[in-house]
Parts: sequence; C-alpha cells; structure tokens
Amino acid sequence: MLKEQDRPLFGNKPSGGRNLLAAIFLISVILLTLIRWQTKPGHLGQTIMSGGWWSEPALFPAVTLILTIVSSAVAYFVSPYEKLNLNRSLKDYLRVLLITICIIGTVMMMKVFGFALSILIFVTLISLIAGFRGIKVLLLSLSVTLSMMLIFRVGFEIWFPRPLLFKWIDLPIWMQGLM
Amino acid sequence: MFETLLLGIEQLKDPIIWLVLIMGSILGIFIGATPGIGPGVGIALLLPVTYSMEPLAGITLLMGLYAAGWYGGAIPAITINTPGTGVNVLTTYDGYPMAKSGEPQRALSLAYASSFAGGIFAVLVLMIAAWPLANLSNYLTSADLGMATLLAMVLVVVAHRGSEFSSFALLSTGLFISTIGLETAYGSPRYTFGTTWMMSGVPLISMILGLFALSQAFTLIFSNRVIEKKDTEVDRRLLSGFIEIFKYPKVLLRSAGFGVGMGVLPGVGEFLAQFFSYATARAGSKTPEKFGRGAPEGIIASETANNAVPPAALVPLLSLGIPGEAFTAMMLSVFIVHGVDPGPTLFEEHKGFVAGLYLSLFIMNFIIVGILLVGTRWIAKLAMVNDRILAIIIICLVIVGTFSRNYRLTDTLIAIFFGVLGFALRRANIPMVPLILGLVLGPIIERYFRQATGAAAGDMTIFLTRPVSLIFLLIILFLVAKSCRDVTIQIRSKKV
Repeated sequence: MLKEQDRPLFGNKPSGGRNLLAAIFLISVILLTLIRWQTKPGHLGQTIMSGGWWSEPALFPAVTLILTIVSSAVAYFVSPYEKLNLNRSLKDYLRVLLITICIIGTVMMMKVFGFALSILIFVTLISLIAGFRGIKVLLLSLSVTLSMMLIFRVGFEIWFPRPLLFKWIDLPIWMQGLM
Repeated sequence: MFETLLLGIEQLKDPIIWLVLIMGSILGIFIGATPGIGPGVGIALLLPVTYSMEPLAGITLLMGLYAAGWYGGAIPAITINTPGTGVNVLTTYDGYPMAKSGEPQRALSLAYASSFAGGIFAVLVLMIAAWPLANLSNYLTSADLGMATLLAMVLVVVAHRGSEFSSFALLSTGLFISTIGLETAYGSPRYTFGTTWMMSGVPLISMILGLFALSQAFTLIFSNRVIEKKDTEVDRRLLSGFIEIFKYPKVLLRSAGFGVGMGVLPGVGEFLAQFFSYATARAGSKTPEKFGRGAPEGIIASETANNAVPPAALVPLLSLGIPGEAFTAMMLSVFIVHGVDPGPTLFEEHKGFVAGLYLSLFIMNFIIVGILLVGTRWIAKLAMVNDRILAIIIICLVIVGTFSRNYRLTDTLIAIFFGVLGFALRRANIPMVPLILGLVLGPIIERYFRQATGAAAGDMTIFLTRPVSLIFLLIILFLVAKSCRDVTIQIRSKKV
C-alpha cells in the first residue's frame, strides 16, 4: 500500500494550465502572422481538382491556427484562476531541463563513443540525478546497458553509425558490432 | 464466415504471429501490472519496432499490449489499491476491499473472468459489425467521410467533459502540426522555416514517444512510491470467477454492451464505459450498499466494460479508416507505414489480414488468461519495481527509438519538445489525446475536404446536399450547441 508520506509528484489540482493555454495562444498568433512567409500560394488551374481556393497550401494551416487561437482564448477565460507555486514549478522544470541536457548529450556522444558506452554514461548520470548512490548506481548502469545491448544490438540487430572511437581503438569486429 | 475462418487460419500458420501474440500478451500484462507505465507508454515504445514487421504482426503486437494491459492493470488495483492503468480505477473500489477481507483470489479471478467475457464479446461484435460498415462506406463520398472525420473530432472534444475548450485547443494544435512539411497538392513547404529536416513533417513516432513515454518518465523519475512485499502476495487458485460471473448475467451483458458501444464511439473509450457500467450495475443491484465494499458486481461491471473497448475501437478504424482514440491512432500509423489503407478497400484487398486479425484477437484473450492463471503470484510482484528505475529504462528506450529511425538528433529533439509539453499537460491535468488525434486526423480531413470541394468546383453546399453528410453535420451542430450550453451553465453557476 502507498505510504502516506509518498504522495505523487504532482497533486490532483491543476497547476499551470492557464499559463500553458496562454502560451499556446501566443505561439499560434505569432505563427498566423508568419503565414505569408511560411506558405507559398498554389498555381491556380494546375488541374481541375487542385486549382482552387480549397487546395491553397495556406488554407488548412490558417483555419487550424484560427481555431487554436479562439479555443485557447476561450479555454483561458473559462478555466478557474489558479495560484502557481513558482518555486516548485521552477524546481520541477529545472530537473526536466537537466534530464533533457543528458539525453541530448547522449545522442551526440553516440557518434563518438558508440551505443553501449553512451548509454552506460547516460544511465550512470541519470541514476545519480534520480537519487541512487553507491553500488546501486553501478549495478543499475551495467544491467540497463547490457539489457539495451541485448535487446537492440543482438535481438533487433538495429544498426548504428560507426563511432569515432573505433577509429582510434582497434577492437575485434564482433565487439564493434555489439557496442 | 467459414471462408474468413479458413483465411484466418492460413495467416496464423506463420510462427511470427504466434510469437507476437505471446510476446504482446506478456508485455501487456507486465506493463499493466506495473503502476506508472500503462499501455499508452508501452505502445509508444514498441511502435518503432512494429514498423519493421508485417502489418498483421505489428498490429497484433500492439493489440496484445493494449488488451493485456487492461487485464494486468487489475492486479495492483486489487492487491495494493493502486490501479495499474488509469482505466482500472473502479476495480479498486470493490477489488481492494474484497482482497482486504481475505479473498484476493476471488477478486482477481472475477476480474480475469469478466475481462475475458468482455474481450470475447467485443471480438465477436467486431467480426459481425466491421465488414457491413465497411461495405456501407463504399457508398459514401469524400464529403460524407470528411464530415464523419469531423464528427469523430467533435466527439473526442465533447467526451472531455469539463475541459472541452482546452481539448479543442489541443486538437486544433495537433491539426496545425499535421500541416507542417511539404503539402500534397502543390508540393510546397509549410512552416518548415527553411529547414530540410522539417520537409517530411513532424514524425509521429517522435511525437508519440515524447508525449506518452518521455513525459511519463519525467514524472516518475523523482517518485518515492514504496510498496510493501506482503501486500503483493497472491495464492494460485484463480478459476472460481469463471463460474461466479454467470451468477450476474445482466451485469455481464450490460457492461459488455456498454464497452462495445463506447468503444465504437470516437473519444469515449474505457473511462466512460466503466463509469456507466458501474453506475447501472449499482442502480440495478438488490444490494447497492455493498458497492465500494467488495461487491462482485462492481468488479464485473468495470472489468467487463474495460476489456470490451479495445476490439470495439477497431470497428471505425478498420471499416472507415478513422481512429477514435490515441491507441488506434498509433495503430493507424502502422497501416500507413506499410501502405495499407484502412477502410472499405481493406476488406476487399486484404481479406487474409482482416481474417487473421480477427482470429488472433480471439486467441489473444485465451493466451492472456492462461498466462495470468499461471503467473499471477509472480506478476503481482511487479508493483514493487521502483518508479525511478522504470523512468531510466523508459528514457533509454526513447533515446534508441527516436535516434535509430534516421540517426538524426532532430528526431530526439522533437521527442524532447513533446516530452516537456506532455509533462506540462500532465501537471495541468489537460488531456493530451486530442493532440495526437489532431496530428493523425489532420491529413485525412484535409484530403477529404479537398476532394469533396474540388469535385464540386469549390461549392461548399456539397456538404449540405449529400444526405449522409447533412445528418453528420446536424449531429455535430447539436453536440457543439449542447456543449456550449453546458459550459455557459457551468460558468453562470460559478458566478452565482
């Protein structure tokens, strides 16, 4: 059973919904103003079926953006006012930002260190961020990396670009394939 | 019917189909029984794998996850009062009290038997209903199908009662995102900002992995949920429920009916089906006071309705090519990748596929129940898996899933963008299903609209002069008007 002190990360009450809707509204307005530059008019009369206002490239984006603007504005005013805990929100999003930096770093590392090493480094880092310490980090990193290698490299035989590392270190072909 | 059966048997000669049936069922049960993941995350993570499979194998794997997830979700709902998936919430109402009163086997057995009955009933309905509906759609024009797609969208929005406008905002955002990239009529770029990587549009797989999987991982990674071992201990005797459910035939049939009916309707799905079933079961019970305290009818109502939905949700997808919710939208992407067009032509050109799918869905229910009867005592322990470990595994799978598609960082960046958006939506309790549906239904509705208005030389009255289209339009207007009225009443009552 769930312990009383182990409540979920977020409560059941909405937090930040209005701000999100406002952001959607604002971005949609900006995108709509860019429509002249981001779509090109079609060549009228190209075929009977395509040569009319109904097939203009700008039509569908314009309609969807107008609908987004109107609905997000209405949703903003209809939804109840809420007081945000800024400190808590900032803390949550900073954690997410940290993880996303690690993800981007891992993908970039794959071209240098290869699949296995990048995942190993990533899992080690993310385990530390998640609060694991000591032998748990080592065990977790090794087991997750090994599972990923077995599932994707051995099981599904997913190909990955040859990393730069193998140009510097001469490893047996089977090991290069595995890593 | 006999010919269909033979065709289906022919398809099942392929050992791969059996392998994915078993794998899908096992994975689905595991994912369902592990609180925090759910079939949505599972399907999103497996989607890239299914693209390299034959359509039948791919769809069967996803359906296995989808259906088995609901079965598995009942285990933690009953043993530790924590629903494995969102749709098992009502199972906790009566399943957990029954387990606490010393009958966890009875509760689990009732849940499995009810899920099995609901699943089999819905597969039979799919077999009977999808083909005639597809034949009927042969007589529908682009205007009718376009209006049917619009009706599906409106139903999805209206189904999110209390957050209709934010759902609508997200649906139209999804529709807009679907327009990014090269458009089909003139091959002209839309909102690509001069980049080449956006020419092919926003990849559905990155969006789904971000919205469903990554956002969930962001939520789980700092969780402190702790489950005690003794709460997950279950005995082996689990067959009694398969006899006991027949003591409540009305509840069983009504709940299966609700599940099928709501599964066919776009956007309604498991949640409303189980709430309706539970409420009517309680209203019709001779002992309504026992509901919430371990009533067997409560478990039967919620579990039967849940499991009748997945096969029923395939009816509009297979017959009209219109997905009603996120899971079938993901399945539609498997069809698209393989160049298989769901709709009337599917039943003419891919009879073997349809027959194989029917049969595999039927067999799947037996496999799932078999696995559960044998392995529940071990599967129940999955609830003890640390959320943070789950999150780490999910993120690794997302990295591999997005990067291995095109070996581009941009695909991962798109997944991250939607992951953060999904995280924000989860925090704000705003449903994200409309966003996915918008992305999937966008190209469909744009194509039908262009075809219909093109054939009528731009005359918009085509949508009024076609009787079927007109009926759909009137239903849409009615739903929109009713929804606006409800929202107005809500706002006024708040002011008073």
